[in-house]
Amino acid sequence: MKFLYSVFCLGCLVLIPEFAFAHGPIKGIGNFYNGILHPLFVPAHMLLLTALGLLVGQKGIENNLLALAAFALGAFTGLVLAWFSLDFELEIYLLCGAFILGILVALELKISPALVAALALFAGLFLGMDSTQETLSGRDKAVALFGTGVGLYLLQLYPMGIAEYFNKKHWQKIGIRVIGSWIAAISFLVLALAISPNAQAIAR
Amino acid sequence: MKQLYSLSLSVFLLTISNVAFAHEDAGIAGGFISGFLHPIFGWDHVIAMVAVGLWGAFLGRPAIWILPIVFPLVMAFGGAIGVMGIPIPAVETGIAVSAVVLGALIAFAVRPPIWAAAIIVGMFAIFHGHAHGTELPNAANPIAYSIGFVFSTGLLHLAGIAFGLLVRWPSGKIAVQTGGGLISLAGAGFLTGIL
Repeated sequence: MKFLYSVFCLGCLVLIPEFAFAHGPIKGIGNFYNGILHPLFVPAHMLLLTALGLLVGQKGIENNLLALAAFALGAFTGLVLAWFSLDFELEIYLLCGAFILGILVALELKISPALVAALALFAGLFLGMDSTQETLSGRDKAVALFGTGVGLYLLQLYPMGIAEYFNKKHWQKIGIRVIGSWIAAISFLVLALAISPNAQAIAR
Repeated sequence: MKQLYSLSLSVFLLTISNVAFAHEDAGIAGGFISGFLHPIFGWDHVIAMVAVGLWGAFLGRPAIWILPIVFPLVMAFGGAIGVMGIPIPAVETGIAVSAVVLGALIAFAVRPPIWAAAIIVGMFAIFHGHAHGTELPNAANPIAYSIGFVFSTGLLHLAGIAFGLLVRWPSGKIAVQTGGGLISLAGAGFLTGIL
């Protein structure tokens, strides 16, 4: 009951409208904390992190420790590339990743831990690369990127823990699969929007 | 004079109130709320989504979980068609018909094989997805809008499932079938333009 209450509180916090300050640094909380919160401000990051966490949790954390290491390695590499301020346009790749991982969660396919680790590696890499802090430089940028690395790792642990915890009863497994199908559906729609000439014409 | 001053001040204060926040499409929160409310503000969407959950619960396992998983995935396909600007004829009619058919299937306790149920639900999901998808290019934050409307659709399914769980009891089964009948009637109302 206490756990459910905690999940409910976490859900409420996530839905607080204050998160409308997308991508804008919050003044007064420092670069490190801004870095931690960075993935929360980017819906595509949250989708991919949630899908990855759910997949690893669904398959069992103990069997997929390699995926945790691979994610950390990928995120570190991506953040190093982001340090060099290379301008990557990665939202489509992030959404493709979220779609694939969402489908894997929804279908609950049997996949090897090596494949899960490979997916985690690429997810971490793209998330890190897409976390460029354009407005910062020098030590401030390094601190913010370090914070982003911590944030990325922490934020994929929550869905992972939830998926592992709710992996006992039949209805719990279904709930996780339903969330996977939602993530796949959301990603697919936004991908369609990204490649649609009709939508691009409206945007112009 | 004092009254006139008070009145004009009141009117002025009313005009500067925060009403402008309603339906605001700005930012992530605005996009999420706009997407979340889109299915809820359309009664035809609401009754059809509740009917999907209700029918899933009525059919029991595995339909209770297959239908809510199939629906968003196929709805996304319909949404993609809408986003691409590919027209589907009579979308609103299709949405109303979905309520009529799904409601009638519940009312008459029809139990087709699971693949047939998935095809029926999937077919209607395309119409619902198309309606949401055509709104997507206008959203300030398309991802937040999509998260909102998929989340909202899922909660409506859940409402239907919760109601549908009453079928365990004989009187509950009657209540669920009556609910299905009412959904069908409401769908007919939307179809004929009475509602």
